[in-house]
Amino acid sequence: MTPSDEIERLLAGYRVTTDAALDRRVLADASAALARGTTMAPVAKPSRFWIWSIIMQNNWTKSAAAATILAVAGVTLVILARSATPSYALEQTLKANQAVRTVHARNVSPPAAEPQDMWLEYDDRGGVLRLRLEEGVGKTFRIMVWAKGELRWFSPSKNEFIVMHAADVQQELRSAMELWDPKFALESIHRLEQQGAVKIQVKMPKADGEPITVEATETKRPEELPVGGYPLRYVFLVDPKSKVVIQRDTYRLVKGSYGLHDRRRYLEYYAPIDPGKFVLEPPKAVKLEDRTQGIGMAQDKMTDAEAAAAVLRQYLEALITKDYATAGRLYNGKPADELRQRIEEQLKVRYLRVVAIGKAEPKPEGGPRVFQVPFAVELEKDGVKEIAGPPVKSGAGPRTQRKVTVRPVVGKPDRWVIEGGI
Amino acid sequence: MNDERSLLRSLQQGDQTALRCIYERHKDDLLTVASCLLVDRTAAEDCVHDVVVSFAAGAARLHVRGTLRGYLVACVANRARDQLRRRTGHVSLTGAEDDPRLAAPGADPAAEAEEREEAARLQEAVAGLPYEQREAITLHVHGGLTFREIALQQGVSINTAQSRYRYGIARLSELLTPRFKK
Repeated sequence: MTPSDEIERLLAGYRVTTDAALDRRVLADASAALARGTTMAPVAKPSRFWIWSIIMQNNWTKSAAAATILAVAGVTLVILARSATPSYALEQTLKANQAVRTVHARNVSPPAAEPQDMWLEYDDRGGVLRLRLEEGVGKTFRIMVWAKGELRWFSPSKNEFIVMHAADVQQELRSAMELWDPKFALESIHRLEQQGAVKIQVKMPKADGEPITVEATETKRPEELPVGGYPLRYVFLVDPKSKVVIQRDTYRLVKGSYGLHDRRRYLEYYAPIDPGKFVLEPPKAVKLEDRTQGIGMAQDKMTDAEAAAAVLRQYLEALITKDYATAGRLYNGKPADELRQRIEEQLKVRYLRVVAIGKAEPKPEGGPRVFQVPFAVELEKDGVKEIAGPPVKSGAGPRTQRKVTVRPVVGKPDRWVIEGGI
Repeated sequence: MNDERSLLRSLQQGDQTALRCIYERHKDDLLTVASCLLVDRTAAEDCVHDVVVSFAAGAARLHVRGTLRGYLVACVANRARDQLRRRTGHVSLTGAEDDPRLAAPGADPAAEAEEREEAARLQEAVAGLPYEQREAITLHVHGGLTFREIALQQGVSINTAQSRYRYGIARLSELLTPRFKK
């Protein structure tokens, strides 16, 4: 083997791998970007496990994922939205839905699915005013309420309570609400039928009291389906008197036959909902994470570049004093315990002092008012002190610069947070 | 390839699972390419982040010729070049990073240390190459791009791209020759 061959072999063997923090950051931001860039609803139904795990792992994605849960909860109605026809029954249903002010829906899918109850209240114009979602049973039970501009989430078994501004997840909420709105769903079905994406069959009841059955079958060819996707059929049972949908089933075509995948019943359409359903207050001694308060650092009279450097300094100083609550708030609202675990148990480092904070540089590809700030800090790891940052040669990989990305808080342009890079 | 096209179609319909799948499939390649080009872990992570986010944002209008991997690698190379151009001469806090991500878990500590040292030496040598040579080597070895694709990327002839690669390898060989003579 020649030296050149050896060089090529060595080069090919060099590989850098991503870590969980980068994966979460990239996927959260890319998912949001994808949602903004596409108008169609997701074709694949994410599992609830995935959604909750994302919520609990990453603060930045919590908001988006929490809203996505709404979409998951209502995805069946989206699916319903995939296929419709302006048939006699459907047109009447569309009209009936306009008068709907409340809905109580329940997920009664096959045994593997979690129990799920959703109460929705509409305003006079038919928009969603507030909602309550109850999911899971026993240790997995949790509640989410969206009302008065706030999204509140509570897990009794974990004793965790999260409050966030609905405005911070406005787009996701709007999308989710569209998914829950029966009018939106059925109009979408109608559109899809016009596009030839579904074929509708209406079966009128054979006897009094039986529901009207509307069957919508996807006409997609196999190559048009998402990876691992199944052709779907949606079956809606429509109350012959009120003309509202009382049940929605989703079937998947597997090995030549349709099997029930998801079943959702609409139990109440017009019954007033107890206003208390839409009130969720944190119990005493709960682990409260209030993301509406104190996230980030106030800019005051600082320039953007000064604020970017200042938030980094405050963050590092909080780490030095092990004030993880403060550090977490500056790190885009990262939960204190998650941050402590990352630093003390995973990285096993102790922050000793700030050596230098460099000049903040604009990072236009990250968006307006996004900066990168270089820094150096003295650390202790395994009893050995070291300066991480100044120009010294790396012995453990490529030479690196310590820089963090800093930006204003979403929806609060006068407050600054660290986005990532620590 | 069919699977890749199918993934892209799903992505263009807003399928988050497809996005996740594409990212999982190519993330390490992209980070390796970015790390070699930028010689900076943090900047490389930001580069990959920005490329994937831009890719997702523009998915609906995307037309990928060739392989998706090649497309993404080219995006990383473009972004890396832009980042390097923007770098200015003020405070540069370049230095060591105690990065457990670079260590292979469960390996023999002594061998691992030697490998890390070797990798560091190699990367340092790569970092010392002229950018065009470094890019040609990185895109070919880590990005899997053909010399034709590299030539297109660099806006030069295929011969020039090949020459840059050969000169780069030869230079690395010179720099690291003592190691092989040991």
